[in-house]
Amino acid sequence: MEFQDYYKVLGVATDADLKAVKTAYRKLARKYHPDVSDEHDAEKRFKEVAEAYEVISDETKRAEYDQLRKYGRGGQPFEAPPEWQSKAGRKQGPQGDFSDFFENIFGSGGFERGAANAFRGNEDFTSRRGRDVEVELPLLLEDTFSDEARPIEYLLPHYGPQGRLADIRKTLKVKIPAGVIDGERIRLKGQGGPGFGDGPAGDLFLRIRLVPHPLFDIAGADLNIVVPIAPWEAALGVKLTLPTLTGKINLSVTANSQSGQRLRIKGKGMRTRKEHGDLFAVLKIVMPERSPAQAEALWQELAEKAEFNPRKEWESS
Amino acid sequence: MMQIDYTVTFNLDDACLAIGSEGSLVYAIVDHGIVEPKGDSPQDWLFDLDMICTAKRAVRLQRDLHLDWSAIALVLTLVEERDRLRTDNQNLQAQLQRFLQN
Repeated sequence: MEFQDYYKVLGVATDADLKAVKTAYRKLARKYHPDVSDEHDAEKRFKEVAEAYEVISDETKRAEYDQLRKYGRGGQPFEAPPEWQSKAGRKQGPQGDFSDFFENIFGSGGFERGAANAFRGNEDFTSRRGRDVEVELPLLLEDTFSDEARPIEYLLPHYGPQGRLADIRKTLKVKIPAGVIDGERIRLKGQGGPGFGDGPAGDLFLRIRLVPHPLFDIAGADLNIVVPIAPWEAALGVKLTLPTLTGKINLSVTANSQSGQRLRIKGKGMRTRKEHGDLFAVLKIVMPERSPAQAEALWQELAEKAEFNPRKEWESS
Repeated sequence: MMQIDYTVTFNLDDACLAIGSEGSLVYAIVDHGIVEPKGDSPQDWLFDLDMICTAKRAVRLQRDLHLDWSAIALVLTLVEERDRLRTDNQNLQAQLQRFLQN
Protein backbone atom coordinates (compact mmCIF):
# COMPACT_ATOMS: atom_id res chain seq x y z
CA MET A 1 0.00 0.00 0.00
CA GLU A 2 1.03 3.57 -0.55
CA PHE A 3 1.80 5.96 2.25
CA GLN A 4 -0.69 8.85 2.34
CA ASP A 5 0.68 12.27 3.21
CA TYR A 6 -2.41 13.73 4.86
CA TYR A 7 -0.78 17.06 5.64
CA LYS A 8 0.10 17.50 1.99
CA VAL A 9 -3.42 16.53 0.89
CA LEU A 10 -4.87 19.25 3.16
CA GLY A 11 -2.07 21.67 2.34
CA VAL A 12 -1.32 22.39 6.01
CA ALA A 13 1.88 22.42 8.04
CA THR A 14 2.56 19.41 10.27
CA ASP A 15 2.10 21.63 13.33
CA ALA A 16 -1.12 23.28 12.07
CA ASP A 17 -3.75 23.75 14.78
CA LEU A 18 -7.28 22.33 14.54
CA LYS A 19 -8.70 25.65 13.35
CA ALA A 20 -6.29 25.78 10.40
CA VAL A 21 -7.02 22.12 9.59
CA LYS A 22 -10.78 22.80 9.61
CA THR A 23 -10.40 25.85 7.39
CA ALA A 24 -8.24 23.90 4.92
CA TYR A 25 -10.75 21.04 4.85
CA ARG A 26 -13.73 23.34 4.29
CA LYS A 27 -11.98 25.12 1.47
CA LEU A 28 -10.97 21.89 -0.28
CA ALA A 29 -14.32 20.22 0.39
CA ARG A 30 -16.09 23.13 -1.32
CA LYS A 31 -13.71 22.86 -4.25
CA TYR A 32 -13.92 19.11 -4.73
CA HIS A 33 -17.32 18.04 -3.41
CA PRO A 34 -18.72 15.89 -6.23
CA ASP A 35 -22.15 17.52 -5.86
CA VAL A 36 -20.89 21.00 -6.67
CA SER A 37 -17.44 20.63 -8.22
CA ASP A 38 -16.39 21.18 -11.81
CA GLU A 39 -13.09 19.36 -11.45
CA HIS A 40 -12.81 16.19 -13.51
CA ASP A 41 -11.36 14.11 -10.68
CA ALA A 42 -13.52 15.73 -7.99
CA GLU A 43 -14.78 12.52 -6.44
CA LYS A 44 -11.31 11.03 -6.02
CA ARG A 45 -9.87 14.26 -4.66
CA PHE A 46 -12.76 14.72 -2.25
CA LYS A 47 -12.28 11.23 -0.84
CA GLU A 48 -8.59 11.96 -0.26
CA VAL A 49 -9.44 15.24 1.48
CA ALA A 50 -12.15 13.64 3.61
CA GLU A 51 -9.82 10.83 4.64
CA ALA A 52 -7.02 13.25 5.52
CA TYR A 53 -9.44 15.39 7.54
CA GLU A 54 -10.78 12.39 9.45
CA VAL A 55 -7.25 11.64 10.64
CA ILE A 56 -5.77 15.10 11.14
CA SER A 57 -8.86 16.55 12.87
CA ASP A 58 -8.87 13.77 15.46
CA GLU A 59 -6.32 14.18 18.21
CA THR A 60 -5.72 10.45 18.85
CA LYS A 61 -5.54 9.48 15.18
CA ARG A 62 -3.29 12.39 14.40
CA ALA A 63 -0.86 11.41 17.13
CA GLU A 64 -0.77 7.83 15.82
CA TYR A 65 -0.35 9.03 12.26
CA ASP A 66 2.50 11.35 13.28
CA GLN A 67 4.24 8.33 14.80
CA LEU A 68 3.89 6.38 11.54
CA ARG A 69 4.97 9.32 9.44
CA LYS A 70 8.48 8.72 10.67
CA TYR A 71 8.49 5.50 8.61
CA GLY A 72 6.78 6.59 5.42
CA ARG A 73 6.74 9.11 2.64
CA GLY A 74 3.86 10.25 0.39
CA GLY A 75 3.39 8.04 -2.68
CA GLN A 76 5.92 5.44 -1.51
CA PRO A 77 5.10 1.82 -0.62
CA PHE A 78 4.47 1.51 3.09
CA GLU A 79 4.01 -1.24 5.68
CA ALA A 80 2.94 -0.53 9.22
CA PRO A 81 5.30 -1.86 11.88
CA PRO A 82 4.29 -5.46 12.73
CA GLU A 83 3.20 -4.66 16.29
CA TRP A 84 1.07 -1.73 15.13
CA GLN A 85 -2.36 -1.49 16.76
CA SER A 86 -4.52 1.60 16.49
CA LYS A 87 -6.45 2.79 19.51
CA ALA A 88 -8.37 5.40 17.60
CA GLY A 89 -10.69 3.30 15.41
CA ARG A 90 -12.82 4.95 12.86
CA LYS A 91 -15.79 7.20 13.16
CA GLN A 92 -18.15 8.19 10.42
CA GLY A 93 -16.50 8.88 7.10
CA PRO A 94 -18.26 11.03 4.52
CA GLN A 95 -17.83 8.58 1.67
CA GLY A 96 -16.85 5.31 3.21
CA ASP A 97 -14.25 4.40 0.57
CA PHE A 98 -11.07 5.16 2.41
CA SER A 99 -7.69 4.03 1.13
CA ASP A 100 -6.01 0.72 1.96
CA PHE A 101 -3.52 2.79 3.92
CA PHE A 102 -6.28 4.13 6.16
CA GLU A 103 -7.95 0.73 6.58
CA ASN A 104 -4.61 -0.80 7.50
CA ILE A 105 -3.67 1.82 10.03
CA PHE A 106 -6.98 2.57 11.68
CA GLY A 107 -8.81 -0.64 10.85
CA SER A 108 -12.23 -1.11 9.32
CA GLY A 109 -13.92 -1.55 12.70
CA GLY A 110 -16.34 1.27 12.10
CA PHE A 111 -16.23 1.27 8.34
CA GLU A 112 -19.74 0.04 7.81
CA ARG A 113 -21.24 3.34 8.89
CA GLY A 114 -19.77 5.07 5.91
CA ALA A 115 -19.72 2.06 3.66
CA ALA A 116 -23.37 1.30 3.74
CA ASN A 117 -25.14 4.45 4.49
CA ALA A 118 -23.70 7.10 6.70
CA PHE A 119 -27.09 8.26 7.92
CA ARG A 120 -28.21 4.96 9.27
CA GLY A 121 -25.11 4.64 11.36
CA ASN A 122 -26.82 3.51 14.53
CA GLU A 123 -28.16 0.35 12.92
CA ASP A 124 -26.32 -2.82 13.32
CA PHE A 125 -24.14 -4.24 10.57
CA THR A 126 -26.24 -7.34 10.11
CA SER A 127 -29.21 -5.56 8.55
CA ARG A 128 -28.30 -2.66 6.40
CA ARG A 129 -29.46 -1.54 3.00
CA GLY A 130 -26.83 -1.78 0.27
CA ARG A 131 -25.39 1.23 -1.50
CA ASP A 132 -27.11 3.11 -4.28
CA VAL A 133 -25.00 3.19 -7.42
CA GLU A 134 -25.19 5.73 -10.24
CA VAL A 135 -24.05 4.80 -13.74
CA GLU A 136 -24.00 7.01 -16.83
CA LEU A 137 -25.74 5.58 -19.87
CA PRO A 138 -24.67 7.16 -23.17
CA LEU A 139 -27.48 7.12 -25.74
CA LEU A 140 -27.64 8.23 -29.35
CA LEU A 141 -30.41 10.67 -30.21
CA GLU A 142 -31.89 8.06 -32.53
CA ASP A 143 -32.11 5.61 -29.62
CA THR A 144 -34.57 7.84 -27.78
CA PHE A 145 -37.19 7.04 -30.43
CA SER A 146 -37.39 3.36 -29.68
CA ASP A 147 -37.52 1.33 -26.49
CA GLU A 148 -35.07 -1.35 -27.40
CA ALA A 149 -33.49 -3.47 -24.69
CA ARG A 150 -29.82 -2.77 -24.22
CA PRO A 151 -27.17 -4.44 -22.08
CA ILE A 152 -25.68 -2.40 -19.24
CA GLU A 153 -22.51 -3.39 -17.46
CA TYR A 154 -21.39 -1.84 -14.19
CA LEU A 155 -19.35 -2.43 -11.06
CA LEU A 156 -20.85 -2.78 -7.61
CA PRO A 157 -18.89 -2.07 -4.44
CA HIS A 158 -18.87 -5.11 -2.19
CA TYR A 159 -18.23 -5.28 1.54
CA GLY A 160 -17.83 -8.15 3.95
CA PRO A 161 -17.56 -7.96 7.74
CA GLN A 162 -13.79 -7.59 7.37
CA GLY A 163 -13.87 -4.63 4.99
CA ARG A 164 -14.06 -3.92 1.30
CA LEU A 165 -13.91 -6.84 -1.15
CA ALA A 166 -13.34 -6.86 -4.91
CA ASP A 167 -16.07 -5.08 -6.87
CA ILE A 168 -18.79 -7.21 -8.43
CA ARG A 169 -19.19 -6.90 -12.21
CA LYS A 170 -22.84 -7.01 -13.16
CA THR A 171 -24.65 -7.06 -16.48
CA LEU A 172 -28.33 -6.26 -16.95
CA LYS A 173 -30.54 -6.02 -19.95
CA VAL A 174 -32.71 -2.93 -19.59
CA LYS A 175 -35.47 -1.63 -21.78
CA ILE A 176 -34.99 2.14 -21.90
CA PRO A 177 -38.40 3.53 -22.84
CA ALA A 178 -38.65 5.98 -25.72
CA GLY A 179 -38.66 9.68 -24.87
CA VAL A 180 -35.85 9.90 -22.31
CA ILE A 181 -34.02 13.23 -22.07
CA ASP A 182 -30.44 14.22 -21.29
CA GLY A 183 -29.65 14.07 -17.56
CA GLU A 184 -32.74 12.04 -16.73
CA ARG A 185 -32.34 9.36 -14.08
CA ILE A 186 -33.89 5.94 -14.22
CA ARG A 187 -34.10 3.89 -11.05
CA LEU A 188 -33.72 0.14 -11.04
CA LYS A 189 -34.84 -0.97 -7.65
CA GLY A 190 -32.62 -3.45 -5.84
CA GLN A 191 -29.94 -3.52 -8.55
CA GLY A 192 -27.40 -1.49 -6.57
CA GLY A 193 -24.89 -2.68 -3.98
CA PRO A 194 -25.79 -5.88 -2.12
CA GLY A 195 -27.36 -5.42 1.33
CA PHE A 196 -25.45 -6.14 4.48
CA GLY A 197 -26.67 -9.22 6.28
CA ASP A 198 -30.44 -9.33 5.88
CA GLY A 199 -30.61 -5.76 4.55
CA PRO A 200 -32.10 -5.14 1.10
CA ALA A 201 -29.91 -4.27 -1.90
CA GLY A 202 -29.47 -0.62 -2.87
CA ASP A 203 -30.80 0.81 -6.11
CA LEU A 204 -29.13 1.41 -9.45
CA PHE A 205 -29.62 4.85 -10.98
CA LEU A 206 -28.98 5.13 -14.71
CA ARG A 207 -28.23 8.68 -15.77
CA ILE A 208 -29.02 9.30 -19.42
CA ARG A 209 -26.30 11.14 -21.37
CA LEU A 210 -27.23 11.99 -24.93
CA VAL A 211 -24.17 11.68 -27.14
CA PRO A 212 -23.48 14.75 -29.34
CA HIS A 213 -24.89 14.13 -32.81
CA PRO A 214 -22.89 14.82 -36.00
CA LEU A 215 -25.83 16.78 -37.51
CA PHE A 216 -28.30 17.82 -34.83
CA ASP A 217 -27.94 20.07 -31.77
CA ILE A 218 -30.42 19.78 -28.93
CA ALA A 219 -32.24 22.84 -27.58
CA GLY A 220 -34.75 21.61 -25.01
CA ALA A 221 -37.14 19.38 -26.96
CA ASP A 222 -36.21 21.08 -30.23
CA LEU A 223 -33.37 20.20 -32.57
CA ASN A 224 -31.29 22.47 -34.77
CA ILE A 225 -29.61 21.47 -38.01
CA VAL A 226 -27.35 23.80 -39.96
CA VAL A 227 -28.20 23.68 -43.69
CA PRO A 228 -25.37 24.82 -45.98
CA ILE A 229 -26.65 26.55 -49.15
CA ALA A 230 -24.89 28.22 -52.08
CA PRO A 231 -25.26 32.02 -52.50
CA TRP A 232 -27.36 31.56 -55.65
CA GLU A 233 -29.61 29.08 -53.77
CA ALA A 234 -30.16 31.77 -51.14
CA ALA A 235 -30.94 34.28 -53.87
CA LEU A 236 -33.18 32.15 -56.06
CA GLY A 237 -34.59 29.66 -53.56
CA VAL A 238 -34.04 25.90 -53.62
CA LYS A 239 -35.81 22.64 -52.92
CA LEU A 240 -33.56 20.29 -50.98
CA THR A 241 -33.66 17.01 -49.08
CA LEU A 242 -33.24 17.44 -45.35
CA PRO A 243 -32.19 14.64 -42.99
CA THR A 244 -34.29 14.29 -39.82
CA LEU A 245 -34.05 11.75 -37.02
CA THR A 246 -36.86 9.76 -38.61
CA GLY A 247 -35.82 9.89 -42.27
CA LYS A 248 -35.43 12.42 -45.06
CA ILE A 249 -37.97 15.12 -45.92
CA ASN A 250 -38.24 17.78 -48.62
CA LEU A 251 -37.54 21.39 -47.64
CA SER A 252 -38.22 24.51 -49.70
CA VAL A 253 -35.93 27.47 -49.13
CA THR A 254 -37.59 30.64 -50.43
CA ALA A 255 -35.84 33.19 -52.64
CA ASN A 256 -33.80 35.92 -50.90
CA SER A 257 -33.16 33.85 -47.76
CA GLN A 258 -30.61 35.10 -45.24
CA SER A 259 -27.75 33.32 -43.53
CA GLY A 260 -28.85 32.32 -40.01
CA GLN A 261 -32.52 32.26 -40.97
CA ARG A 262 -34.43 29.50 -39.15
CA LEU A 263 -37.06 27.37 -40.84
CA ARG A 264 -39.33 25.43 -38.50
CA ILE A 265 -40.32 21.88 -39.27
CA LYS A 266 -43.07 21.02 -36.83
CA GLY A 267 -42.91 17.82 -34.82
CA LYS A 268 -39.55 16.64 -36.17
CA GLY A 269 -37.55 17.38 -33.03
CA MET A 270 -37.11 15.22 -29.93
CA ARG A 271 -39.98 13.09 -28.77
CA THR A 272 -39.97 13.31 -25.00
CA ARG A 273 -42.73 11.89 -22.86
CA LYS A 274 -44.06 15.42 -22.32
CA GLU A 275 -43.86 16.92 -25.81
CA HIS A 276 -42.85 16.53 -29.41
CA GLY A 277 -40.28 19.17 -30.26
CA ASP A 278 -39.67 20.85 -33.61
CA LEU A 279 -36.70 20.74 -35.95
CA PHE A 280 -35.17 24.07 -36.96
CA ALA A 281 -33.21 24.25 -40.20
CA VAL A 282 -30.70 27.08 -39.84
CA LEU A 283 -29.45 28.38 -43.18
CA LYS A 284 -25.73 28.93 -43.69
CA ILE A 285 -24.60 30.52 -46.95
CA VAL A 286 -21.40 28.86 -48.12
CA MET A 287 -19.05 30.14 -50.83
CA PRO A 288 -17.23 27.70 -53.10
CA GLU A 289 -13.50 27.69 -52.32
CA ARG A 290 -12.64 28.54 -55.91
CA SER A 291 -14.80 29.63 -58.84
CA PRO A 292 -14.09 28.76 -62.47
CA ALA A 293 -13.24 31.77 -64.67
CA GLN A 294 -16.71 31.75 -66.21
CA ALA A 295 -18.36 31.96 -62.79
CA GLU A 296 -15.94 34.70 -61.79
CA ALA A 297 -17.12 36.73 -64.75
CA LEU A 298 -20.72 36.24 -63.68
CA TRP A 299 -19.92 37.36 -60.12
CA GLN A 300 -18.25 40.42 -61.63
CA GLU A 301 -21.34 41.16 -63.65
CA LEU A 302 -23.51 40.70 -60.58
CA ALA A 303 -21.32 43.08 -58.58
CA GLU A 304 -21.84 45.75 -61.20
CA LYS A 305 -25.57 45.25 -61.63
CA ALA A 306 -26.80 44.46 -58.11
CA GLU A 307 -27.41 47.73 -56.33
CA PHE A 308 -26.79 46.45 -52.83
CA ASN A 309 -24.69 47.83 -50.02
CA PRO A 310 -24.56 45.34 -47.11
CA ARG A 311 -22.90 48.00 -44.87
CA LYS A 312 -25.47 50.69 -45.31
CA GLU A 313 -26.05 50.94 -41.56
CA TRP A 314 -22.46 52.10 -41.05
CA GLU A 315 -22.96 55.13 -43.23
CA SER A 316 -25.28 56.94 -40.83
CA SER A 317 -22.83 56.60 -37.91
CA MET B 1 -35.21 -8.11 -18.70
CA MET B 2 -35.65 -5.18 -16.30
CA GLN B 3 -38.91 -3.29 -16.56
CA ILE B 4 -38.90 0.35 -15.56
CA ASP B 5 -41.78 2.11 -13.92
CA TYR B 6 -41.61 5.77 -14.85
CA THR B 7 -44.46 6.88 -12.72
CA VAL B 8 -42.61 5.79 -9.59
CA THR B 9 -43.48 7.95 -6.58
CA PHE B 10 -42.43 7.67 -2.98
CA ASN B 11 -44.46 8.35 0.16
CA LEU B 12 -42.63 9.69 3.22
CA ASP B 13 -41.54 6.25 4.48
CA ASP B 14 -40.28 5.16 1.05
CA ALA B 15 -38.56 8.52 0.60
CA CYS B 16 -36.73 8.19 3.93
CA LEU B 17 -35.57 4.72 2.89
CA ALA B 18 -34.50 5.84 -0.59
CA ILE B 19 -32.72 8.94 0.72
CA GLY B 20 -31.21 6.92 3.55
CA SER B 21 -32.28 9.49 6.05
CA GLU B 22 -34.49 10.04 9.06
CA GLY B 23 -37.88 11.72 8.79
CA SER B 24 -36.65 14.82 10.59
CA LEU B 25 -34.06 15.49 7.88
CA VAL B 26 -36.69 15.03 5.17
CA TYR B 27 -38.98 17.49 7.01
CA ALA B 28 -36.14 20.03 7.13
CA ILE B 29 -35.47 19.59 3.41
CA VAL B 30 -39.15 20.13 2.58
CA ASP B 31 -39.42 23.03 5.07
CA HIS B 32 -36.62 24.85 3.25
CA GLY B 33 -38.25 24.28 -0.12
CA ILE B 34 -35.30 22.20 -1.36
CA VAL B 35 -37.83 19.70 -2.64
CA GLU B 36 -41.56 20.27 -2.92
CA PRO B 37 -43.48 17.01 -2.71
CA LYS B 38 -47.05 16.87 -3.93
CA GLY B 39 -49.68 16.72 -1.18
CA ASP B 40 -50.51 19.09 1.67
CA SER B 41 -49.62 17.13 4.77
CA PRO B 42 -46.69 14.76 5.43
CA GLN B 43 -48.93 11.69 5.27
CA ASP B 44 -50.03 12.73 1.76
CA TRP B 45 -46.57 13.72 0.53
CA LEU B 46 -45.49 12.14 -2.75
CA PHE B 47 -41.90 12.50 -3.98
CA ASP B 48 -40.75 11.81 -7.53
CA LEU B 49 -37.33 10.48 -8.52
CA ASP B 50 -35.81 13.92 -9.14
CA MET B 51 -36.86 15.03 -5.67
CA ILE B 52 -35.25 11.94 -4.13
CA CYS B 53 -31.99 12.65 -5.99
CA THR B 54 -32.04 16.33 -4.94
CA ALA B 55 -32.71 15.36 -1.33
CA LYS B 56 -29.82 12.88 -1.37
CA ARG B 57 -27.58 15.59 -2.73
CA ALA B 58 -28.73 17.99 0.00
CA VAL B 59 -28.01 15.44 2.73
CA ARG B 60 -24.49 14.82 1.35
CA LEU B 61 -23.79 18.57 1.26
CA GLN B 62 -24.98 19.00 4.82
CA ARG B 63 -22.81 16.14 6.03
CA ASP B 64 -19.64 16.93 4.09
CA LEU B 65 -19.59 20.73 3.89
CA HIS B 66 -21.19 21.41 7.27
CA LEU B 67 -23.72 23.78 5.68
CA ASP B 68 -27.09 24.73 7.10
CA TRP B 69 -30.26 24.06 5.13
CA SER B 70 -30.72 27.64 3.87
CA ALA B 71 -27.20 27.59 2.47
CA ILE B 72 -27.84 24.19 0.87
CA ALA B 73 -31.04 25.48 -0.74
CA LEU B 74 -29.08 28.40 -2.19
CA VAL B 75 -26.17 26.19 -3.33
CA LEU B 76 -28.51 23.76 -5.08
CA THR B 77 -30.39 26.57 -6.83
CA LEU B 78 -27.14 28.10 -8.05
CA VAL B 79 -25.63 24.77 -9.09
CA GLU B 80 -28.79 23.92 -11.05
CA GLU B 81 -28.64 27.31 -12.72
CA ARG B 82 -24.94 26.82 -13.50
CA ASP B 83 -25.61 23.39 -15.01
CA ARG B 84 -28.44 24.78 -17.14
CA LEU B 85 -26.29 27.67 -18.37
CA ARG B 86 -23.42 25.30 -19.08
CA THR B 87 -25.66 23.06 -21.18
CA ASP B 88 -27.03 26.09 -23.04
CA ASN B 89 -23.52 27.36 -23.60
CA GLN B 90 -22.31 24.00 -24.91
CA ASN B 91 -25.24 23.83 -27.31
CA LEU B 92 -24.65 27.37 -28.56
CA GLN B 93 -20.91 26.75 -28.91
CA ALA B 94 -21.59 23.59 -30.91
CA GLN B 95 -23.94 25.49 -33.20
CA LEU B 96 -21.52 28.38 -33.57
CA GLN B 97 -18.77 25.95 -34.55
CA ARG B 98 -20.99 24.50 -37.27
CA PHE B 99 -21.42 28.05 -38.56
CA LEU B 100 -17.77 29.01 -38.40
CA GLN B 101 -16.28 25.91 -39.98
CA ASN B 102 -16.55 25.36 -43.70
